[in-house]
Amino acid sequence: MVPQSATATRPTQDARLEEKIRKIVHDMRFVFVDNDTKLLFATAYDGDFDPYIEDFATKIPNAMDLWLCNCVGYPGMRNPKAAADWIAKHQIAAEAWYVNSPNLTAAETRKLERVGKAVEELLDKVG
Amino acid sequence: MSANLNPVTASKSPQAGNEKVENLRKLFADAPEIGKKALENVLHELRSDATETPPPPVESAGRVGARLGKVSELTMLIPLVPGGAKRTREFLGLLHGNLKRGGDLVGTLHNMRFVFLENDTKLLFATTYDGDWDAYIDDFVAKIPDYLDLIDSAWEGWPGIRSPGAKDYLIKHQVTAVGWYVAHPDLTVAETTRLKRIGKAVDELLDKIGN
Repeated sequence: MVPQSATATRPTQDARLEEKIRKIVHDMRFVFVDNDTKLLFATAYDGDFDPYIEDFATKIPNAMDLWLCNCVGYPGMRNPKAAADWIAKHQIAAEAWYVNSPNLTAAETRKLERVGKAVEELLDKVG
Repeated sequence: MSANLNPVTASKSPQAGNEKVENLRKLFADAPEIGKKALENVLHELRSDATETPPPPVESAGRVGARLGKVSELTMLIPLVPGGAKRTREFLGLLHGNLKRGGDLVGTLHNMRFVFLENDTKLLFATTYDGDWDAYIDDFVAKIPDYLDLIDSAWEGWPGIRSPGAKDYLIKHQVTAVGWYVAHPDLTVAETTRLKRIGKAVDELLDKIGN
């Protein structure tokens, strides 16, 4: 049985991109601030900073470069060490942080979705 | 205001999509080398996407904000009154930076952060939540008004969460994201909670069978 997710059937760049990043990122937003002179990039992700940035560099370097190339001093994801340093320099740690399910990684959520679907199918068969 | 993760593919027709790709190319002629190269690398994908059925676009979360599937974003940048950052920091410090108590009470909140900006003169308040803006704000007001006023009393011009002007203030300082991504756009907080219970029950069932 091949589990199907909501996005798995989309034959588009978005689907391909989503397949790559949905294992790493819970959510991600880009917001223009100060009359388009600054970009706010905020994400919720699993685990530690360094492996997360490495994932960006190895899995979606082109997308990251398209999104961040217009930022002053951005060194590019092909230069992952410099990119990680640049991101760390511009990152501001939250003073307070809330997550509804702190023990659930994006991958585990995906697994739970499959389990939920399988249980529904099982109950349908029993029904 | 809202846009897709990949805005180029959100076009309504192949012609419009191709036109957008060409416009992007023209704009990126002036981009830094890193951007030009990245565009070159993905251009064939963008072009092929433009002729295919696009994925569902990011929609509006209601009065303000972006929504993908069932999950919305709220991003606010708020000027602080003098001394406001100090009071807020002290309060958040008392909670050890963990907003679990208040956050869990809302019931539709996936995540939430407070970040001080520009030498403590501004506060970034960003959340990920379920559904429409108005219902969400109503939840906040109904469930944690005092916790909110502890924090937002540091905001310049804030009328108080119980004031009829509160929503207008929030809208004025909210900035809609131009790009919004959610890994599980169909999963609300309530549905995630249900799935966690199902997962636990399945584990227990398998344990019993295993014995």
